Amino acid sequence: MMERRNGRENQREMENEIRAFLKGAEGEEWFHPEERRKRETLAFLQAERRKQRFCPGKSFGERLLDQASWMSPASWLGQLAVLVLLLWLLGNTGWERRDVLLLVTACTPLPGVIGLVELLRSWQNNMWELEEACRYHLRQIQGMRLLVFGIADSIGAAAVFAMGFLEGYTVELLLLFFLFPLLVSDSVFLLLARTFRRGARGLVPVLGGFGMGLFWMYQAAWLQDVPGTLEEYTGPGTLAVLLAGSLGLLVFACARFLNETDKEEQKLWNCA
Amino acid sequence: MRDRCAISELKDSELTARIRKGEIQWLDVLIERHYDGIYRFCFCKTGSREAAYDCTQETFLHLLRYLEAYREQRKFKAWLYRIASNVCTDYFRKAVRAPEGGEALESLQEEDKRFEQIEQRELVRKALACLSESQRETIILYFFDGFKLREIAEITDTKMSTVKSRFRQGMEKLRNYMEKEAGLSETAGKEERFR
Repeated sequence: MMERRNGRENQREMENEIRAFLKGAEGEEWFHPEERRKRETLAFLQAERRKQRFCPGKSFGERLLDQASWMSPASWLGQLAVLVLLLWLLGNTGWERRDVLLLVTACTPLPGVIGLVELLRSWQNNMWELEEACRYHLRQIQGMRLLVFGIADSIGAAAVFAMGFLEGYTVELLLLFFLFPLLVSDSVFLLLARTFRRGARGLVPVLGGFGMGLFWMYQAAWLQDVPGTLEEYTGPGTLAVLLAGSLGLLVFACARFLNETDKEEQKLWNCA
Repeated sequence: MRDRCAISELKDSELTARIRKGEIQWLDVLIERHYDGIYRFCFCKTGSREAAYDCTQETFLHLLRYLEAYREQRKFKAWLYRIASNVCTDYFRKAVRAPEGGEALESLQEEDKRFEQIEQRELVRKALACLSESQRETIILYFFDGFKLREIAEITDTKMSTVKSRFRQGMEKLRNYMEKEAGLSETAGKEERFR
């Protein structure tokens, strides 16, 4: 016991001796950085800090909600209107199923049009300046917007599927006439986003959506009117390939869109 | 003036909390506060002033880049020194010829043109040069930067027992050096008196 205490006292004594000895370093030249070099580095770091787009310590969910609240009410109302229209169409028992499916499939590009208009807002009216002030990367903002739209579309799609089941539509029909064209339309709009961004304003995306709606209507009519085609396309193998392909296309389109956003950001956002 | 006092009184944790709320200008205060310590630490790790300046700057650039990843469960200062330690390790990796242990300090002392003139004043630097790199790092962090051995283990990513052993060995080497130096200076004093 005594030995251990002595050991500790010796250690403390040694520490004190060394501390006193090392205190001498304060007078040595190497101990302090040169004031001029220090000031230069601090000025450089300050400039770098100003360039930094710093995101406050919020969780991803909080940031996503923040971003969703910044999206225009018109886009949310538009999405809601499309959902209500789809539910109304599916629930309308007075019409023939063929016509209902034609109209449902014709409506599938609408969420993509609304989403695209919202995504393109950053390049219109110098919106990016405001977003820059919020210290987020444009790519992050667009990524979060895509995710918000993805979540909203998934909820909408789930509601459409629920309504479809209630009205007696099979999963295959809903997948072929609703989910597949929805995914492909969204992908095409994202892939064309760059072209739209350059020159398109106002009605151009809407007209694009209208054209795509007509195309899907034509496809739906062909599928239902040519005997044997519907059975062939609603077979599990073909349907799985179509859905996997459309999902892959959507992932590719999102990645390309974000990648191009980043490239554009380098050119546009010279906030040095 | 009062503002300046108030800023200097703010703890690191208070500053980081403000920064995380988006008041990013407080980073300048945090960087200035830790600049000297990080420079000293980098100097002791690299053994070169130029490398120390570079590594210090790189450490703070890493801080700017990764501040979002900082979690307040860890002590900010320990986290910053961990970055500095990694930056210095990277510096050695990138260097064509990495200096080894105490030789780095010794060789750089030789390169220092003014070394002959300041030799007598650079006693601590010479003493530190006797230690191995890991011992020197432990001693510096303990005595100059006030870290506990547990925190040093965290910064250097080493086991506590290893840090303790480095610390003990480092202290013994320093004490031996001090005794030798004291012995030498006593002998020198006697010789002076006999002349």
